[in-house]
Amino acid sequence: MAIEKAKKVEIIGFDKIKYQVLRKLQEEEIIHLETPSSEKLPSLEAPNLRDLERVVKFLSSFEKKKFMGDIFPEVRFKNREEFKALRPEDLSSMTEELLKISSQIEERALKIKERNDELRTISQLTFIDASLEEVHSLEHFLILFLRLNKMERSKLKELLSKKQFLLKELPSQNHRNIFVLLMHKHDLADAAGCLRKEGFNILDLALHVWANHPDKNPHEIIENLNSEIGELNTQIHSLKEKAKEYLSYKDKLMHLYDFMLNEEYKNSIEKDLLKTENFFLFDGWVLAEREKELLKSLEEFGDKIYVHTRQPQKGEIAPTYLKNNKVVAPFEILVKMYGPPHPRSLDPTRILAPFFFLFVGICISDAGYGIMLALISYYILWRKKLTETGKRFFTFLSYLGIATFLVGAALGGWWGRPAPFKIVDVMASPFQFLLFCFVLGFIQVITGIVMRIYIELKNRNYQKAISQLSWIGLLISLPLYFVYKISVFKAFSFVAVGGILLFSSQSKNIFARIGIGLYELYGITKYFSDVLSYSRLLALGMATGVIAMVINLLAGLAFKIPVLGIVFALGILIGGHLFNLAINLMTGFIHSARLQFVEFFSKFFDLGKKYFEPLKVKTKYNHVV
Amino acid sequence: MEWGLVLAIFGGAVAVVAAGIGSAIGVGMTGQASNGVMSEKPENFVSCLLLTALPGTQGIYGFLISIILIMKLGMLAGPVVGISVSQGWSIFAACLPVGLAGLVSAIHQGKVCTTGVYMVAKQPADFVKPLILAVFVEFYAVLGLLISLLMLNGIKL
Repeated sequence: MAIEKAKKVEIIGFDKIKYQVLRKLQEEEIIHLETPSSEKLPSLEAPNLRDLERVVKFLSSFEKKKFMGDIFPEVRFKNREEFKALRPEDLSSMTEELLKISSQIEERALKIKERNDELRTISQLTFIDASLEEVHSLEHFLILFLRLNKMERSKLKELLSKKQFLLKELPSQNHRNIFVLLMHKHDLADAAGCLRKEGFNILDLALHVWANHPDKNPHEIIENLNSEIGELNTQIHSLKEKAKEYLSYKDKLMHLYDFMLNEEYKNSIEKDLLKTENFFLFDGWVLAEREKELLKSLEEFGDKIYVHTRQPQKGEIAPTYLKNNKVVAPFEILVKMYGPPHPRSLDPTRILAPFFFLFVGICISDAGYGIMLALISYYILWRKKLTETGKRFFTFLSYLGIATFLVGAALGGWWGRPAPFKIVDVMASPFQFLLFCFVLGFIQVITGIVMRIYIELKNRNYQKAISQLSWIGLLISLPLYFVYKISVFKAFSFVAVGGILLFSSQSKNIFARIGIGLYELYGITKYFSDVLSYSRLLALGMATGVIAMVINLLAGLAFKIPVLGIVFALGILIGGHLFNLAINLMTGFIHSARLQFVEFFSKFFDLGKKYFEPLKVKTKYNHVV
Repeated sequence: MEWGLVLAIFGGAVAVVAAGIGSAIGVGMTGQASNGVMSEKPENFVSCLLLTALPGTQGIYGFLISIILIMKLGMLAGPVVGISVSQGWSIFAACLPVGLAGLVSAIHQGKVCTTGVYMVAKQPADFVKPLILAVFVEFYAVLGLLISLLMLNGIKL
């Protein structure tokens, strides 16, 4: 089922053509490299790359921000031919110029910050109408301006108690706790030392800023600072204008970045290449269906190159490549989250899709929300340029919207309002619905075991297939016996238990077999808890409906407010329902995913090694398609 | 007001307060970690957001049970009458599963999500894995919710 077969490839060639071969393979996107690894990242620390990245970021800061621009970054497409035709231009002088401008702006911004700090300090002293020289003109005494809190004040008083001093709070309008300290000059050094010993630093407010301009009074200094800040701001403005002139080159810079990134990538691969003095070796995988294509594309190198393909040997695990039709393919997202299935097992995407579809539907179970989710997804698919992955994701979301709509319509939920038509009334008969969820879980668990049997048969492990088949027999006949008490089911159960006891182990020793079988039989509790786990579907489904109802209720209450009521009500309705949809989509998605991963996959999933990632052009800004 | 009603209202309060405390602690913990990670890697916003939101669901479950209780008692429509003491105790007990399971599971889920945030900082592509692990903890709150729902549903007034 839908895992492509891959073959091992080895390419040996003359050293001098290694770059041409590498470029060719990269263009064809056909080979998954093992040594050197194609997942290797180029070293982004290369200084020219880093500079370019900074410049691009700097230029982007002048562009207008788009709505939701952070979530949907602009996607630029380049087709392969265009990218190939790209030749590096020398933009180093421009890069340097822009870096210079950017650092000049930063420098000035820093200065503005400093000046603002100074402004804040000096403005605490605006009540003084004299210059610092004048303040310090007393022959024997020194005047200090301090900012002290209550504790510091009492401490200071205590420390200075043996000296002569005057400490007085100043009547400043905007700032409290400003004190003036008057003391004899020869006491000062003494006192300062004493204070420092106590871990207590007196900061003379005046010294900090004022000392630079001792001939001016605080008002004049403020004026100076303000005009300086103004000047710096105009400088920044003109620098920005200058930078904006380069905006049209941003595309070119991005291309250059991508080109250089890809070169760097190729270099890093080349470095890890297995090589002798005259030869190099690529070691990797190709999909069996594209093998001929690979051979053909390398024909141009003639006998300078030798390509060898073979089936994977024992112990070698080929990378996994999932292939599904367009409808099911978006569900691959889930399988990819879990990890690559072993190439010799099967791709669960198709089987998982209907279950997941239904489960998310039940977890949200509101037709109105389904319509909203589907419409939002289609709108994004229609309006936004998306990468292949993005398209898949939103197609996936639109599916979930449809599922929610269908289940919601069946259960009669429309934005939390009861509908005239419903198949089941969950609120009125939750127990029946709980049973229904268990049945769904039971079906999925059995499906999982059937898939295990399929894999075992495919790999010719008939014994294991029999023991799994016995499990199905036991799991079906035992509940039936308990419900209907018909002895046929009892007999079936015994046969099944026998099957499990005898075939769970492949040991030759009969006692060991039965021992292991007994242990395996204990695993029935696991199946029991697996099925119970599906009760979450009911709880989450009810949660959505009730919260939606509460939102309507609140909106109804808001509506009664005179005049503005309708505005409030609309706000609550729109915001509330969107919030409820978002929260329940998240929990619904994760809980349903968990049911796949833990309850379903655990029955049959064999992890492989890696996904098939062909060697291709590595870029950051442009998507090469 | 008779004692039956007092007990019932007390139950509703416990459901929303206990679960709310748990969620507040859980979300607070994860939120702090998210901010720390995003200060270095702002591009992790979406995964941090999801991880931070997750321990918040318990509070919603508690809230939900309280609302169902309020509607069951018909408190919005007018004065409530005729709830016996035994009915009051039953309602009180029915509110405990969601409140207590929510309280404890939200705190522990917060811990799982917090470490998940640290993991996402190192492996941004793998952000679904910590989400799945966190949901393991949440399941017990979901069970609490389910039982509270079924119990409330079963109490005849």
